[in-house]
Amino acid sequence: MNGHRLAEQFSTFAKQDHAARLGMWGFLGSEVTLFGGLFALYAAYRAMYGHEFVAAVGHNNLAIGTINTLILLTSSFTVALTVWAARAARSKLIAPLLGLTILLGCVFLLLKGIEWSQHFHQGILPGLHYRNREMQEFGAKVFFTLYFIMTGLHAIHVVIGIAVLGWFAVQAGRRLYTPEHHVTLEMATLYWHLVDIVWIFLWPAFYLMRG
Amino acid sequence: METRHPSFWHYGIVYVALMGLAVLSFGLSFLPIGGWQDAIAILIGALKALLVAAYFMHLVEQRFANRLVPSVAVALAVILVVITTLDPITRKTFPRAPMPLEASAPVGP
Repeated sequence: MNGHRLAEQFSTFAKQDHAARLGMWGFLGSEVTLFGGLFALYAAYRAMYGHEFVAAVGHNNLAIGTINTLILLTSSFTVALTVWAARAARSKLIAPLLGLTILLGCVFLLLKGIEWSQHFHQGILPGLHYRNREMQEFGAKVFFTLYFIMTGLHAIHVVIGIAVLGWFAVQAGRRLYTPEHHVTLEMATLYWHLVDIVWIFLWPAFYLMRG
Repeated sequence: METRHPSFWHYGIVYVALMGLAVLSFGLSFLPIGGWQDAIAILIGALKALLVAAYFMHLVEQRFANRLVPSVAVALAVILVVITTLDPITRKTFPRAPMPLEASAPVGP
């Protein structure tokens, strides 16, 4: 018994796996529309306060934002390799790869924390708590409020992703994943990739678009 | 149905492409090309997201139903962004943004 059970409503594991993937993609779709709404807000306010947004983007720490991008892209690669390892019957590699992904996620959060702390020291806080003297315009306050909401929500997703991958790393230590049965691991990696994709768009919005 | 899974090298090539696109996006962000900079950054971002979804998330090997769900979600998100942005862009009033509170407050008794 390797812990993989066929539920009674499915006639084969293939159908059960397909249902699991379809359900996960539905969940990820709801996440896309959640972040889509926030990006819509960002785009509309940028259309209203273009100059203030450009100045505020220039104020953000480009080095940290860029390093974090490279970190998350690398973590997406390492987590994708866990599925490759399961399919190639190299299950011993899964736990170390998940561990590496978790480590990269923690470094991402650490750098994000350093950046937020820099903002706090400059009086850049969300909403009514904003008290930066250098950028007093209303558009700058809107920009940084959106910045904290969007990067904060993203960071919560990173934390959840780390917890989920941690649980799967423990499971992988017991060699539960085989070339035939690894769909649950695959679902966990899909969530992590979504976190990466969201950051792929947060990076230009808050660090690169200075034009 | 037998599906051919990508090899380690496939993942490696996609990773190198993603890192290359990130470096390209970073470099292009310093070019003095105004609004084009934003369009290029979004386009490169979309390309990177497509690579992650297609290969790291294995969307290329999924059934049609599984491809349809994220496609519809992305289409809805794009429509949401475009329509929400079109409102302030096409607004005939001046200024585009809401008036500051102190300026728009009613005057007198």
